[in-house]
Amino acid sequence: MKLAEVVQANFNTLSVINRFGIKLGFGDLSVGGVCEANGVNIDFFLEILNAFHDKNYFPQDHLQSFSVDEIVSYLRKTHNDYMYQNIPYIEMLLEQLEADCKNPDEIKLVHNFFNEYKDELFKHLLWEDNKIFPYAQSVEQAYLNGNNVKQVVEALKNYSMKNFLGEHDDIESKLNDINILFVKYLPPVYNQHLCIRILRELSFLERDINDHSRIEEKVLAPKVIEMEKFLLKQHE
Amino acid sequence: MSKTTFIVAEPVFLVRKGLVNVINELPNASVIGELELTKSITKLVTGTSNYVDVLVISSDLLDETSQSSFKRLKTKHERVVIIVVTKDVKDIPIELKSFFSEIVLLSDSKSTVHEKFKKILNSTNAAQVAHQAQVLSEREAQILKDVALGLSNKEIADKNFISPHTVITHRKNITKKLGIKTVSGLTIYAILNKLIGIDEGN
Repeated sequence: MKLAEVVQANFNTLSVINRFGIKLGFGDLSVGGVCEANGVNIDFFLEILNAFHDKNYFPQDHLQSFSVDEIVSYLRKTHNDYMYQNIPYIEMLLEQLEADCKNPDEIKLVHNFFNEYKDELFKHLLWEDNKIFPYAQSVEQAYLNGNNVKQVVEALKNYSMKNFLGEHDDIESKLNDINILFVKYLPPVYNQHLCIRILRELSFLERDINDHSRIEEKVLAPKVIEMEKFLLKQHE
Repeated sequence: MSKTTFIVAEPVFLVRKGLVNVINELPNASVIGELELTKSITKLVTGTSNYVDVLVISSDLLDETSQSSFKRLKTKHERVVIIVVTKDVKDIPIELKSFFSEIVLLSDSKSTVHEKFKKILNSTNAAQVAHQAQVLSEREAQILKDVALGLSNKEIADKNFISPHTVITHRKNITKKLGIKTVSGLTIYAILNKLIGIDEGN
């Protein structure tokens, strides 16, 4: 299948494709061809793309065959997208809406609410970037190459991937509420085109973040937990 | 917002189809029933009118029983809007005029007809919004207000002389009804619906 056809079938896959460093203008290259030209692991690419396209598609066994490094690198790129693309864009739209209405106080309320969500989200993303991902990578290094096994085992006794799963709570309630406020409860006097655009962005972000959490919980965590078990046993 | 539903009662086939067409072309409106005879209206009043927002009726169908029919319709479903269609305003009995929100003339131009229907749609939509805003019971609205003011479950319980457990049940029901889960979201809802002032929310 040509990559251009994939994009035409589901336009939203573009943001996923972009995270692999693949830029527009694929010409008539097949998916495999594009991956080869960009040095992307095609199996990993396909699994992530399929998982994104269809949320029920999740052959975990297959995804387990990729390295933690590959998964983390993809997850980091999604984090960057949220922090530097999606969220700032929504903020800009909210500011536009605020400037383009007679009663900006109501929109300001929603905007403040969105900022609350943003702070929560950023805190969460940075915690994963700075703590969880390096930890997951260190476990893999210890497992594959025997690097710093002692320190890693000590670390995992304090905080393992199971703890992460326990803490990886739902931060999407706020996003969902903002969505509902726009759809159901804001007075219909606001610039409708802007409202629709904001809603589109919010829904996309919500979907994308859910997909991203699924990869963390169903792929990254189980894989690391397996390696943790092995390391603990070996160290006894 | 759900669609505004119409019943069209008009004995003349071509006129009826024309009305149905015009209404179905309006945004958020749909005709859910067509009637030829006045008798069906009496039946309609006692029957399915729960789902009817607007009744469009031809002046040809008005008779001496109409007044009591409309009265019953209005007492049963105060939100039902009645529109009359006629060749001549003089055909409408004076004692019935107060029931009609709008009079559509067969001689009306396309734009006039559209305007009249749109005016009706705006008013029914507004009524729907007002109706939906009241889905919370008085007690729930009070609890929501307290939640939005930042009170804890314990404080709300003490203030309203109920158990904390009951407060939690109310909160669950509020969330279920509104679809809003977080305190911040509920606060904004409370402000938008004037349950609390804009400076009070925290």
